[in-house]
Amino acid sequence: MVAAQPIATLTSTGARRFQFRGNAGEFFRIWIVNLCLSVVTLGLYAPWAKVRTLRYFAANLAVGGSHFDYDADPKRILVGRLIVGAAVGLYSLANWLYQPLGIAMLVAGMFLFPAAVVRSTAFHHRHTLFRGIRFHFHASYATAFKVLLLGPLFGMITLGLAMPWWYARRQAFIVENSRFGTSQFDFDGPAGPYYGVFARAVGVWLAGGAAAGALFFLIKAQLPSESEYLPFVAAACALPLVIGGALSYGISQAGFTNLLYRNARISDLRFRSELQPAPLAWLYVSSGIAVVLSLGLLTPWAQIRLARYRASALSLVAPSGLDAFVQGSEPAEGAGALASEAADLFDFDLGL
Amino acid sequence: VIRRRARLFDGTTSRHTDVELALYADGSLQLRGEGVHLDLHVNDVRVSPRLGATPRVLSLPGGGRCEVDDDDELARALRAGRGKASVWHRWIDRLERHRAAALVSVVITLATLAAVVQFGIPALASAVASSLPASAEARLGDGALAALDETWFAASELPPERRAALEARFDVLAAGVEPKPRLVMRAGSEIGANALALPGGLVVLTDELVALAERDDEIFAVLAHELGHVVHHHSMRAVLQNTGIGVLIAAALGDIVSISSFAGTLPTLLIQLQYSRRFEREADAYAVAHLARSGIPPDALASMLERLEQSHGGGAPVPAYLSTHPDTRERVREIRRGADAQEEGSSSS
Repeated sequence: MVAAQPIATLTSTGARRFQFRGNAGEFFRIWIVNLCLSVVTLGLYAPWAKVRTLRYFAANLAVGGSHFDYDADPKRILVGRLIVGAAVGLYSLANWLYQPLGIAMLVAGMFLFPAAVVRSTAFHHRHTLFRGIRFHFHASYATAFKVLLLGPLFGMITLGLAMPWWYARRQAFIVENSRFGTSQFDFDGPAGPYYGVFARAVGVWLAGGAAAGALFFLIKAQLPSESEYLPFVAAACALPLVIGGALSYGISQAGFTNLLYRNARISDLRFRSELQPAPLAWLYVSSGIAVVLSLGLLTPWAQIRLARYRASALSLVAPSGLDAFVQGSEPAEGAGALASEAADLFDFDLGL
Repeated sequence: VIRRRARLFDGTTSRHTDVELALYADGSLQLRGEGVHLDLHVNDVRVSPRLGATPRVLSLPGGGRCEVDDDDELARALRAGRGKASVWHRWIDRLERHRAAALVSVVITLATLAAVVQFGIPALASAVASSLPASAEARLGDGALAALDETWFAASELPPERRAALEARFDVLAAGVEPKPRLVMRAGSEIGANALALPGGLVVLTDELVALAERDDEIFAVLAHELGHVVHHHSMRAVLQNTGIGVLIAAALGDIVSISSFAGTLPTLLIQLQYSRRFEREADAYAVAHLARSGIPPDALASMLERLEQSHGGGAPVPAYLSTHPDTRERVREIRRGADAQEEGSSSS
C-alpha cells in the first residue's frame, strides 16, 4: 500500500514540521462568498461562515501526515451570539434608563466573564480533532477567576511590572487545563524568559524612539530655525519610531508564542517553535498595509500567509509516535454525541 | 466503481489503519485493510461537507472516521446517496468554487455595506431616537452639558438684561418646536464663538458668538440652525449612529482582520464625519425655512457663517471629507439659494 508511506514515518523518532496547505486563491473565494452571505443575511449566516473558516484552517494544518479537523455546530454559535448580543443590548438599555442598574449589570458581567471564557474555550477544544481524537478543556471557576480577572488587575496595580508574569500564568492556565483525548497537557513556564521577551520588546521600542528624536534634532540643527520643511523632516524622522514599534510587536508576538509551545508538553510529546521577530513584524506590517489599501479584499491572503509562516516555524517532537492517545469517555459518535450535544447546550462561542 | 486510499481511525485511539475505499454505483461502500473488513452503504455514513481541497471525512456508524483526499470524481460519487441536509452545503461549495460567484460576492458585499451605512443605520437610529422617552433624551442632554461645563464652559458674562432679552426672543422663535428647546448661555473660553444643540432640546450659545454678531438677527439665524438639530433629534441620532457604525465595523473586521484592528478606526471616523455633514445640511435647510416664517431674512445665517469662519482663523485647509461640517462657501451658497426659493414661493402665493 502506497498510502502507508507518509504515515509510516510517524512512528520513527525526530521532529515533524507542521505544514499549512491552504492557498490564498482558494481561500479568497471561500471567504468572499461566506462574507457576502453573512452581510446579506445581516449576520445570521455568520456562524456558518465562521465554522467553514475554522474548518478550512484546521483541515489544512497537518503534522506527521495527519491533519486537524473542526466540527462545531454553527447553530450553537448562533445561539451563543444571540445571548451575548441580548446581554449587551440589555446592558446599554439599562445604562440609559437607570445608570445604577447598568453598573450592576457591568459588575455581574465581569464576574461572568471567566466562566464564559472557560465555556467558550471548552466548546472550541471539544470540536477540534486530530486523528479522530477530540481536545477538551476543563477549568474551575476559581482558577479562571484568579487568572483572568485578578491576574491583569495585579498587573495594572504593579504598573505593568507583573504583566510578563501574568502572561506566563495565562498560558499555563490554557495549556494545563487542556486534554487531548484522555491525555493531559503539562506546562512548565517559569516567568524569567517572559521578562526577557518583555525587556527586549520595550528596549527596541525605546531605541526606535530615541533614534527618531536624535535624528530630528540633528537635522533640525542644520536647517534655518523657521524652515518650512520642518514638518516633512519630522515625518521622515518618525520612521525609526515606526520600525521600532513594528519590531517590538514582532519580538513580543514571536517570543510569547515560542514560549507557549516550548513550555507545553503532552505525554512524551514536545513542541519546537522558532518564530523570528523580524519576519513576523514584516508579515504584520505588510499585511496590514495591503489589507487597508485593498479595502479589506486582501484579508484572506494575509490570513493564509500568516498561518503558513506560523505553521512552518512549528514542529513536533514525538519520540514514541502519535498512536498511543485514547479518546476516553467521550467517543466521537453514538452515545458520546449526545453527551457532546448536552455539553454544547451550556458551552457557546464568545467570538474570542 | 471508485477506489481511493484512505486512513481509518477507530474513534477510540489515535492509531490509524490504511485502507482501500471502494464506492460502487449502487452506493455500497467497502473498506478493506489490515484487520479491516467493512461493508457499508453510503447512506449509513455521514460525509463532511466539501470545503476547498481539504480531505473528506466519512463518519462511520459506531464512531469510526475515514479520511480520504478529495477530488471531483469522488465528490460526485459521494453525493449520489445523500439526503436533503446536504443540498445547502453543496450549494455553498459550488459558489465557493466559482470565479464569477466570487466577483458577484465582492460587488454585493460592497453594495450592501454601502447601503447599510448610507440608509440602514441612519433610518434605524432615527426610528430609535423618535421612540425614546423624552425624559431619557433630556437626561442625556443634561449629562452632556454638565460634562461640557466641567471641561470647557464658564458662566456667561453678559449683563442679565441682555440675557433676558435674548431668552425672550428665543422663546418666540422656538414656540411650538418639539422637544421644547431651552436656551443656555455660557462663556465659551477656548471653544470661542459657537452654538450647539444637545439632546433633549438644550441649545447652548456662547458669549463670544453674541459679541461676534453684527445684528441680533444673525444670532437668531444661528439659533434657528440649532433648532433644526433639535427638531430632527440630531444629537440623539448622532450618538446612536456612531454607536451603530462602530459595532458594524467591529463586527465586520473583528472576525476578519485580527491582524490590524487599527484598520477599523479610520473608516469608522470617515463615516461618522459624513453623517455629521449630512446633519449640518439638514439643519441649514430647516433654518432657512423657519427664519422666513419668523420674519428674519435667512441671509443672516449666511453672513453669520462667513463671519464665524473668519473668526476661527479663515478656514484651515481641511479636506472636505475630514471635516464635521460641509465647506462654508458651499453652505452659504445653499442657504442663499434656499432663501431665494422661499422668497419666490411666498411672493407667488
